[in-house]
Amino acid sequence: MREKISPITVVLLLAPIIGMLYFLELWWVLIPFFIFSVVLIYIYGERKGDMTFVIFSIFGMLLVFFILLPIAELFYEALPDLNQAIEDPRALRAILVSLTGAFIATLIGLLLGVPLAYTLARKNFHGKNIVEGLIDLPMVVPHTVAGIALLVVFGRRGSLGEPLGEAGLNFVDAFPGIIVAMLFVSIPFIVNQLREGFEDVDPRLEQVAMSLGADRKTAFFTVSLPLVKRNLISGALMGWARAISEFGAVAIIAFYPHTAPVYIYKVFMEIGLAAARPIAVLLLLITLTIFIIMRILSRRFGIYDKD
Amino acid sequence: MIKIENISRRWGDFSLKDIDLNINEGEYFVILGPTGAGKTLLLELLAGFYDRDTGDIYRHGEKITSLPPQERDFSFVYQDYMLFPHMKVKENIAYGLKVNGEKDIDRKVRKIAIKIGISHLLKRRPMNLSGGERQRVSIARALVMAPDVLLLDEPFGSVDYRTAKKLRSIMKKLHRKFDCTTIHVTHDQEEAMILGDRIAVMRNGEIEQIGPPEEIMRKPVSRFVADFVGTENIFHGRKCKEEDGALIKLKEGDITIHTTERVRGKVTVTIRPEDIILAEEKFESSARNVFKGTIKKITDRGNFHEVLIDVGLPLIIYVTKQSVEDLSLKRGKKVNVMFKASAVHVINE
Repeated sequence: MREKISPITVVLLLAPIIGMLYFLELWWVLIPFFIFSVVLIYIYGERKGDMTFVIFSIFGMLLVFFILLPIAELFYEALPDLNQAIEDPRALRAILVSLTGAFIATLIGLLLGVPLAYTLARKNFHGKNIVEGLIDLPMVVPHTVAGIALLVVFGRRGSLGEPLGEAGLNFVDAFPGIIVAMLFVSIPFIVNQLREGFEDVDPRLEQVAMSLGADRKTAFFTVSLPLVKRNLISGALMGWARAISEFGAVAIIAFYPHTAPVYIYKVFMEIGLAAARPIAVLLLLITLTIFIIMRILSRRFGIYDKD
Repeated sequence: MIKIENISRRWGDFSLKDIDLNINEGEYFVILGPTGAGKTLLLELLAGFYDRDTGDIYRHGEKITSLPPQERDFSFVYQDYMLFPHMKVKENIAYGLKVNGEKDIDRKVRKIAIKIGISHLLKRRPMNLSGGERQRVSIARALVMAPDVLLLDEPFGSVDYRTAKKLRSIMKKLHRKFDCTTIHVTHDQEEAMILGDRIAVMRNGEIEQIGPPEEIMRKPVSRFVADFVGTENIFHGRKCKEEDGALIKLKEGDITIHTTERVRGKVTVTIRPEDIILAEEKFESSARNVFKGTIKKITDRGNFHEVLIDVGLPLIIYVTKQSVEDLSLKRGKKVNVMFKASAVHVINE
């Protein structure tokens, strides 16, 4: 039996939402939302008699608007002042630091993450749960806490910071510090994506490859790795985006050179909202463009039929 | 040439117990058993994908128990093909040659593709192929290596019956042509009888009986083997005359039967038990094959009764409960059996 919810229920549920939007005078949300609801009710409600998805979609749309609203308003208000940001060399430099830092952190994450993800996908060992928990940890720890912890290790007196500092590699208020902080927060995104990918590759594909004369390494590079191309790209993309957006950990270990989020924060604190807005929009424009282009490119790698 | 000595392996609740097998050079060896008998596991141990707990494996007298799969020179074909989805058919077949750094890869791939009848598929991707086509590619990928031993794990288990029948006869021809020692795992007794030079029947991780198909069928050592293999009419024979189809002289029982199908030399013949008619008196009909025989056994199979009749060789017939009563069938009764020439299916060797 198909669950049926009457259109009246839908209208009753919609009324407070629409009322609230009207009260807040959010016309540009209210109108598309209203049209969207009416269209949904018309298409599904009338023809299929099943209102469940109509209600789900309407609620879901609220969440989508919740993401869209701040970004759209930001663009709306700051776009005319964008040249302020473009003409500010410090803003451009900060964005460049963010982009390159995130790129290098992602490369390191991939180089070390691929072997880890593959091992986790293929082998069971004592303490595997602990390792998996540790990988997820950077998502749970407040990023200021992560920054302080990293500072303890990579600081001038830190267990790694001191010997590496003597060798000429400084982390505090330096570019390597930014990379370390970015790597820390992006690891879970990279490793988990890859692990899921490798888990989807049937181990028997590798076994067949081996019976045909490939050693395990060759089987990995010719069969398993090409088959997780999609996960590799999306993991890298997620990790890279996460690295760029990091503020807390980066600000604590390396306030200088400024990354874009740090610089935006600084401008916001020292000058104010109006000055910070255009830089924020510029950063958003650049990262979103790269993100969307990469997303579209990765689509072209079709998902392979799982035999 | 392959000797398996006392191989055991525990796997959770399941275990393979003291498997002993000797497989001869060029032999087509079938491991037959129900799901969960441990056939696939045994094959994977042979391939070196997993390690055994105890026991040893020898190839040409040389111990290979601890060799990794890539050094064993055994090619593996899985039931669900396991083609590399990111490679075209051609690249799939060429894979083994490539990783072994062989020369003349293109020509070898083309040659095997022609032999297996997939040369028109070389540029396609596995996901665009039918089940039967995929399995042919998988077999080609294994055979192109000219392996010491070809390991087949339920190779026709994922395709429909017609395709399976076709693949079977291709496999039979290929084995003749390449003369490659083959170990074939299946739960299908018809397949085992038709393809196997010898059969090992497996149950619960142990081997119940090893022998040529006729022996397994005629002299099962246990009730399990009898139940598992005894429900089909499969005979071996050779062509003796061509007339409106052909006459086949069977290996056992001094019997010749008519068929409408094309026959060349040595053949395997199957007759489905439900295609055979049983009668008290001979009567004029279109059935070209008519024999006299004695009922040896009647078994209640629920929906139908299975009647075993000795006509010089044992013939299994399915009849309804009603027929058993109407014809008052019982052990020792003399009856006539008939079947059409078109009910005789022929697999040419």
